[in-house]
Amino acid sequence: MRTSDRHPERELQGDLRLTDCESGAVENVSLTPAVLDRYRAAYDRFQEGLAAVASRRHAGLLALDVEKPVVPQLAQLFEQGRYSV
Amino acid sequence: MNLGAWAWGVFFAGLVALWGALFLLQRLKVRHREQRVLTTLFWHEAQEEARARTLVERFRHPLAYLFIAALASLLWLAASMPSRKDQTGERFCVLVDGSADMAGQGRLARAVERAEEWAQRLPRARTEVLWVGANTETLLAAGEDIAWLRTRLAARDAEACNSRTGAVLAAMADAKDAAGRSPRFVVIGAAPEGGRSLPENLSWTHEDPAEQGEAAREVVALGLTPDAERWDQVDVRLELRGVQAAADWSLDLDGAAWQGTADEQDTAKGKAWLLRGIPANGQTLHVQIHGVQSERGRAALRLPDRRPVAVFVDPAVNQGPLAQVLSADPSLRLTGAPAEAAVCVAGPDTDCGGKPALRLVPQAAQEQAFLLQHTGELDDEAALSLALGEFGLDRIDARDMAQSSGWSIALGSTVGATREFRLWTELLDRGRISFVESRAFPIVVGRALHWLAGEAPVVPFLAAGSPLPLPLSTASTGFAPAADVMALTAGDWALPDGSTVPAALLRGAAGPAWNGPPAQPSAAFPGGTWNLLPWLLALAFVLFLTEWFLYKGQRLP
Repeated sequence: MRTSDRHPERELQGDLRLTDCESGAVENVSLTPAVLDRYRAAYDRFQEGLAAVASRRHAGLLALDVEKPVVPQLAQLFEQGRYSV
Repeated sequence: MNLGAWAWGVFFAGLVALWGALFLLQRLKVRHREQRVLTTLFWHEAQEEARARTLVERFRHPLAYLFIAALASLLWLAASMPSRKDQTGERFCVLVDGSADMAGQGRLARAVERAEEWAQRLPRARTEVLWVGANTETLLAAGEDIAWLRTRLAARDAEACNSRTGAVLAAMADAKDAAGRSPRFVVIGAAPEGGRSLPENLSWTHEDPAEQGEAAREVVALGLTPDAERWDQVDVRLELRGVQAAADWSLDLDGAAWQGTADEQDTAKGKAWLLRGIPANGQTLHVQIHGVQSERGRAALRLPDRRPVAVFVDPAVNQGPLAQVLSADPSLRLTGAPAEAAVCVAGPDTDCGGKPALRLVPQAAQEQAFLLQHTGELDDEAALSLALGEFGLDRIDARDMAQSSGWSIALGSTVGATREFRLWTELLDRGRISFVESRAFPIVVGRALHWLAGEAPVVPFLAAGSPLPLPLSTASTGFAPAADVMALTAGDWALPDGSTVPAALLRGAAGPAWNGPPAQPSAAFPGGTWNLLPWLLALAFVLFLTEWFLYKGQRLP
């Protein structure tokens, strides 16, 4: 994940035609505050869902910021037993 | 600045409407910017793209709106046909000469171009364009859309008539406005003819679309006179300009080439030829200048039909001075067969079979010494004028005859079933009166018989644009044609008596030279080339290009 994923307004503004880089799906979006709120709500629901799945399976969930070096983030996990993004 | 298409109020109302419509479209329009993202999963849930197409959201992309509004405003102004504002309130009239002088060598096409340029230049609301051919017609009324001018001029061609721009100019100069001003005129064509009263402050300019150095080759005059010695022949005079030799023109009679000789003479306008002894048999004479295609290079003339009149003379009256006059007149052919005669000479009671007759009647039988009976085609004044003038009775010294005879020598007219001319038998008595010894006697008898025969009058010439000339008084018969008959163009024209004669386009009948105020230079007229339209369109194109480059550079959504 990226830390900017939850705050797309830092990179995206105005009326956009968003194209999914994997599936090619297209969404026409006008970035208004209401839309951004709904986006963050959808994003949070997804993150909560991931955590719930891991919890049910007694597994851990590690979220890595792909825009930062991975090794220090893993080292922090091993040193402190947890890593927060 | 004036607007040629509509009023200022309409212009501004249209501008506001355009801006409003563009404003609404701007609010409804969504311009997407392409962007690739890792996933659209969350956007799909959150998207409310349809809610962006509303009129109540925040107004976006004001710069794009300004560009399109400016572009639309320029095009709207261009459609309004702006022109320079004229403050003087003067009226203008453009006269386009449609006469035969405009035929050939592209003259009319050049005149049409100049007329369109003048119509563009002068204030549209107070300028009219007229076509001056055989008749005057409005090509473009004041205030009309100028696009109509080209359409209406496209179907025009030079007419076979003399130029009338001088007459039209004189007539319209009298149409003054509230300030007492005459219109200002632009004459495009041949120099206007003169001969009319014109205001001294007449303002006009002239443009002649003729090519420099063009030399006119044309018929100046074509006419005839009866031959002095032969009743059945005429002499024809032909005058040409720009033609030096008889070999440069040809003449035919009803299509048959004329082979006679002509006496040549120089004139002020060119050269003239006199053709003598042409048979007066009713044929049509045609003249053609070689190499000239226009109507100016040809002319036609109808020759009179002067065959001798067949006359039956009642033996009872065929004696004495009357018999001598009848037998000596070469224009009469005496016949012993009443059936083949056109007219008869008889006593008061002789049955002429309904044919016109010259009758000798006793003095006691009629009040007047001379009585003209017509069938109602003449009024009293015309009848008396005919008898006095055409018959030659004005040559009689009626007072002397009255004194010597003691009679009242009077002339009268009446209406009857046939034409007759009645005179007292006593007038032929040499012992009582000197009528038969006067020079008028054979003239009266001869002309009366020709009138009775219904011969058409001799028309010496017929020029388009000129009134029909009166017959020659020395050797003609019939009644004078109506003075107001005028052929407007060259070609066949019908006379009041039902016959037709060809009218010719004669330069000599074109009127005198211009005698009015001199023409002003065209620079004295307002206007000049002031056309905003190309500039407006160019500016709109620059705006369009600017918006395009900004859009391609993603500086404009």
